[in-house]
Amino acid sequence: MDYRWPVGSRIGMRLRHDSATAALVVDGSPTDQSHVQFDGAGERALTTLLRQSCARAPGEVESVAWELSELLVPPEHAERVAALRIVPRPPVSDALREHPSPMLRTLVGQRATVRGGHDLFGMELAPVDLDAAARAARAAADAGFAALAVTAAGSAGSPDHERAVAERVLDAVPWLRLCLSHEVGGLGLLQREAATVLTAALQPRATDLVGRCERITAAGVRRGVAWFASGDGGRVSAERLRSFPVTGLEAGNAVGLLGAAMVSSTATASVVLAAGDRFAAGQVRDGLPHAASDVMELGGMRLATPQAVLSPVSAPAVGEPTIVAAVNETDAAAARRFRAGLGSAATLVDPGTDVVAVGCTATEPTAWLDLVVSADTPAELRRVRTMMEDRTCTLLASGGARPGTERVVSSAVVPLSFLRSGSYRVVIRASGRLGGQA
Amino acid sequence: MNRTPSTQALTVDALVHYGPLANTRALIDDHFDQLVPHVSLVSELDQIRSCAPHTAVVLHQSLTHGVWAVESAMRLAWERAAACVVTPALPGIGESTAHLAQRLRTPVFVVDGDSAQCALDLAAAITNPDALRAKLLARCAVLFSERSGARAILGVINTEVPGVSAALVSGDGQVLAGRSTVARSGAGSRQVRVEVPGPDGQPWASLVAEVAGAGPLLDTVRTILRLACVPLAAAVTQQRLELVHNSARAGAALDVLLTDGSRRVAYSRDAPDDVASELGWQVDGRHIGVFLRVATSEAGPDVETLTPGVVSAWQREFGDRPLVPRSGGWASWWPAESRAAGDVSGELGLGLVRMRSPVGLVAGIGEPAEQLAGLRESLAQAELASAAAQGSTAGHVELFAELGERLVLACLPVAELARSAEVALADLLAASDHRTLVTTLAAVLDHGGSTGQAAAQLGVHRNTVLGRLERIRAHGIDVDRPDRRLALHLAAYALATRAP
Amino acid sequence: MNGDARVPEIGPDDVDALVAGSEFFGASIAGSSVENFRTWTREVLERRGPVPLVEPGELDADTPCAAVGIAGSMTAIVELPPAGDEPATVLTALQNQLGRAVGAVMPMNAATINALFPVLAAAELGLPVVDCDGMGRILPLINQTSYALAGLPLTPLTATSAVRDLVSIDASAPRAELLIRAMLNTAGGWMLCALYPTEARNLVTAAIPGSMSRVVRVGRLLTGATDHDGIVLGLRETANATVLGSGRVVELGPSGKRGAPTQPANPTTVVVREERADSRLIRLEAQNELLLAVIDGVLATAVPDLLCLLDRNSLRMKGLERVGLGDEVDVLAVPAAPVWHSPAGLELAGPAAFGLPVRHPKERDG
Repeated sequence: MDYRWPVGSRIGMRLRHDSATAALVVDGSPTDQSHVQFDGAGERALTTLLRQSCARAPGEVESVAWELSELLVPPEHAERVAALRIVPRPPVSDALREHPSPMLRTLVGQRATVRGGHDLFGMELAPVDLDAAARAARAAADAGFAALAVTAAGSAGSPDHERAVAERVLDAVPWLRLCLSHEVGGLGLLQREAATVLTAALQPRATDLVGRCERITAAGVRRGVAWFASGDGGRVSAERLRSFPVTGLEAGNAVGLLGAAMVSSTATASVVLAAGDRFAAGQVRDGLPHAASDVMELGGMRLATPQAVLSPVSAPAVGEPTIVAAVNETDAAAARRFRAGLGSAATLVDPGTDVVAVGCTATEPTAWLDLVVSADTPAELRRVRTMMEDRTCTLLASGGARPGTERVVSSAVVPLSFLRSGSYRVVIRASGRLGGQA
Repeated sequence: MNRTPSTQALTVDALVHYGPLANTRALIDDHFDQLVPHVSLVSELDQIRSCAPHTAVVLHQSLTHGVWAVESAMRLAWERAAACVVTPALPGIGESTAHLAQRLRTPVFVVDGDSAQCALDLAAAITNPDALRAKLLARCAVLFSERSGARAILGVINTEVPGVSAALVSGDGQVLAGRSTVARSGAGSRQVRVEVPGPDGQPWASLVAEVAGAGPLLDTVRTILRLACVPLAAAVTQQRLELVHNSARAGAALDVLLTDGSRRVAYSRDAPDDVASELGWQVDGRHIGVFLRVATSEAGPDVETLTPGVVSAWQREFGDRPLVPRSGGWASWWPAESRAAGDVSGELGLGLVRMRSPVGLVAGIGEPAEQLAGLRESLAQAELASAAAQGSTAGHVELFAELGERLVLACLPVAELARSAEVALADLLAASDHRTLVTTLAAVLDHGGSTGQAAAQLGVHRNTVLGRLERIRAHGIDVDRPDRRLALHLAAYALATRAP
Repeated sequence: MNGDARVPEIGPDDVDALVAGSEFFGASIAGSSVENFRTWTREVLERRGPVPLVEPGELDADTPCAAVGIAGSMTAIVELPPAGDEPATVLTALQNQLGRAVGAVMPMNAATINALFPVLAAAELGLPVVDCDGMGRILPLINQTSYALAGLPLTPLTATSAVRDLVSIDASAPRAELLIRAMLNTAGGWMLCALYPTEARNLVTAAIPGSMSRVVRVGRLLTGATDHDGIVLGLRETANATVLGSGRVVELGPSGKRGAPTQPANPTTVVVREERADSRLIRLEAQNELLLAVIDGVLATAVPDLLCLLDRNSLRMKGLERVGLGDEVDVLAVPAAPVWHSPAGLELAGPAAFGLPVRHPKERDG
């Protein structure tokens, strides 16, 4: 069955440093777009913009989805935090003690390593040193850091050490804000640490932004609920973005893919986004961007956060029919050039259309699970996989999807190389509907 | 060595329908027509290289290390012209494997259980095809007894008997039911033909079956066709009797409807509405009258004789639309809620051409009209319009609304007029080019004596028309005398209209 | 570009090329994040200075040599990174075990991070790296090497983990493999090993020559080239790589039954469908590594020849664990070192060694 874009009236709000764009989409058709310049503090201008869009809707506006990725870009909007790594043995090499990403090194103002950690399957490799953890936390607090990012080896297999550390640290330094890597999720110690540090570093900024968006939405739209676009092309609640601001990173590209598909009246397409002098190709399938759980790269650092897959393309290559869209008004000429190089295989989205704002309205709640599991027989693997799919759907329901609308978008099982037979990495992605349609 | 399969061998299709492959999952539904004289259970890929052509290659459990091995086996099987490949179920056998099977034109079947058992069952079925055949015959016999109607019976043969397409074909080669492709028998297939007796006991149609490939089931198919003959003949007789009876009843009923209320004395016990509803006719609301006639105006079989053939062809084309025999043709009426006479004309004309009627038909169409009284009017218009259509090619439709005063001409007894014209203009008609001269005469009179306009209509130079007029005059015809002009015009019209 | 140019030493500036080239020869795990290995290797080379690359024949024939390499899972090492002293620890432990100093380090296999560990070990101990390796690619078992093929003993072997477990093994090559494999499950998923202690003279015949140089050359190509055709052409020159086909990944998942008990991990299959009119199906059969390429049911290439996937969009190599449905890839084949095509080589690392009942195309031709 062909995918149908959400029914009813939705508004997408793309917020940038000095301007905002509101797109009104009714039953999957963009019907209105307004733009306003503002000084960055003017909530009133945004409320008016939202009210005007709302007035043009044929019925009640179901939701407003905000896209904030430009305002969440680290490190400029992030505060410096302390990091605590839990591994069986402290690294002897500076290169291994630090995080390889320069950007992350600037965000981590103080770092400590304590003993502990599990293997991928949740077996304890070393007992956790809670006293050392408490000392590190106190030192961080003493140095003036408000947040501590805690990342333990194997916490995807067992969160026990992170939880134990959290308990002890909160006893010792109750005012310290803690971010635990198993709550952020994902495989790979450094990738998870990066996501966890960013989460801690962006939380104050996100809390401020999300609060403003909520106030504006409440003032501008009757019974309006504010949602936020996420990097995988889904939408998350205000509460979720406040707690896990990394989910909102890179959301602009993901929803840009969706918006380009939507204005081209298709739910499955190849899309090329033009931004600056770069072009990136992505895929939209059944109303969702093709995404992966661990491709996000930010300043040369890989994050364990689901993100739409965008591959850089340098020159037009004759291939399948492609939609070319500009991310910003200033990219229109580049998009037109790229489209011309593709010939009849490509269509160009009207550069006047803000595909990011439009794409926000196409987002729906999504959920991911990325774990290593053990299964000795195919039947056992099937059972584990079904269980994980159910778990993902439960996550989805708590993420705001209407019960009964959940669908498993992809469920990939990859046997792990060079581990014992019967180890698999299972990555599940599910999507649901905010509204009533299935 | 390329052994030719025995004609007794079964096809893949037969094994799927009645044999051990029934319990397997087929990756593709094509290329089932191959004969399967051999079965081979292989536990190493290399063994496939020595399989005889047309073998059913069954992969042993031990061979299926991965889908790649199944696909390698498929490829080797294809190289050996195998009839099909049977593989144990394996995670990963999916769309891509099916895609390859399609490209190799080799059916692949997936068994959930033990493939070795499947190989044994296949071998048993192949060495003793009679058991399968008996099963097939029994199944057909049971289904024939449960079906009535020619189409349903043909359907049983076409769906149940693997590799066989069957049709019921009339004496003149028309397909009455079943697969129309059968009539155009292709090379490489064998035909089995059995006569089906009509209601009078005479051969009425043939049941023709085309058996794909070398005809492994030829005898079985013949037996099945014979089994089908009796219920077919009964079904056909029943249909024809019902048709004749229903037509007579419908004719009487339409008489009631079309009689003006004030004059309806003899039928006073039948109210028109009761009559209509009893036959399931819809006469309320807006309708368009339609009248069919035999295309040619020459004498031929009468309406009564033609009615069963025409009505059954009509029903196949137009379904439940009424068609009632009248003295000069057949009346029908179509609901006209949302359409004009022109729309009906298009659909009707197309249908008339497609209809497998025993004679060519033309039609007239009345104006849309309300209620019963309007329908009477519309049908009368249609009947008149159909008279104007007569003489045209089959499928021609005349609209009453477009006829105008030509209607009067439509009512002329053209055949009789033509006969008297032959006498009156005998001299002219004796001329070797009398057709040209009559046509020219009619054209000049049609244009009120203007030779210029007549020349334009005929597509010749005016001098030519003048020359022809001279020759007409030479045959003693004076075109210019007003007191003779009407008679002359009618004679020329009748001669020109009558089919040459 | 000279296809056989020798690389004399590996310094901090060669690390990027070394990492990129090593990814190419480790098809299954290409694309895993090894940023910390890159910074670590660079840091060690900056601190300790460049490591000379020497040919076996250039060393004194009696020079004691030992191979260094990791056994285990990339996913595990990404979750549990090394502490940094493992290379020195494991090599020192082997020296203690042998009772003599090692004069040069050779790679067990110059692919993925196993191309980095011998450099790290050699740098920490101030030794040269022998420009050779034992696999020319990744093979799943530590006894699937040209060293073993030439009869060099695999043990004494020493191994250490991120938890700083330290073990030594004295056993036959197949037994050593089984013992290490059993320990991995407790050690955190990976162990760094020092193994195949031997003398330089034996490496002249027992090693696959020039492997490290080849890795760096391929790496320079991959980091330098910007267009697809340039990469494909360059790979043909430097690594003798050919494109078997190009298309889109249409199927991905477990294949068939459980793997042979001696092989870690389970079989998986990747199906690439060409987007040409005849849309050939390229089925890649994998267990840890890509083992077979079957095109429309015909075996095109088999282990020990190297199969790998080049992402046509990002122009990066795509590992088995990272390949996704819909990816547009080139399927590349690189012929194995000649020693692997010998009857003994094929017996040790040919399809049959992976429990695959097919003959390698070379066997069939022969």
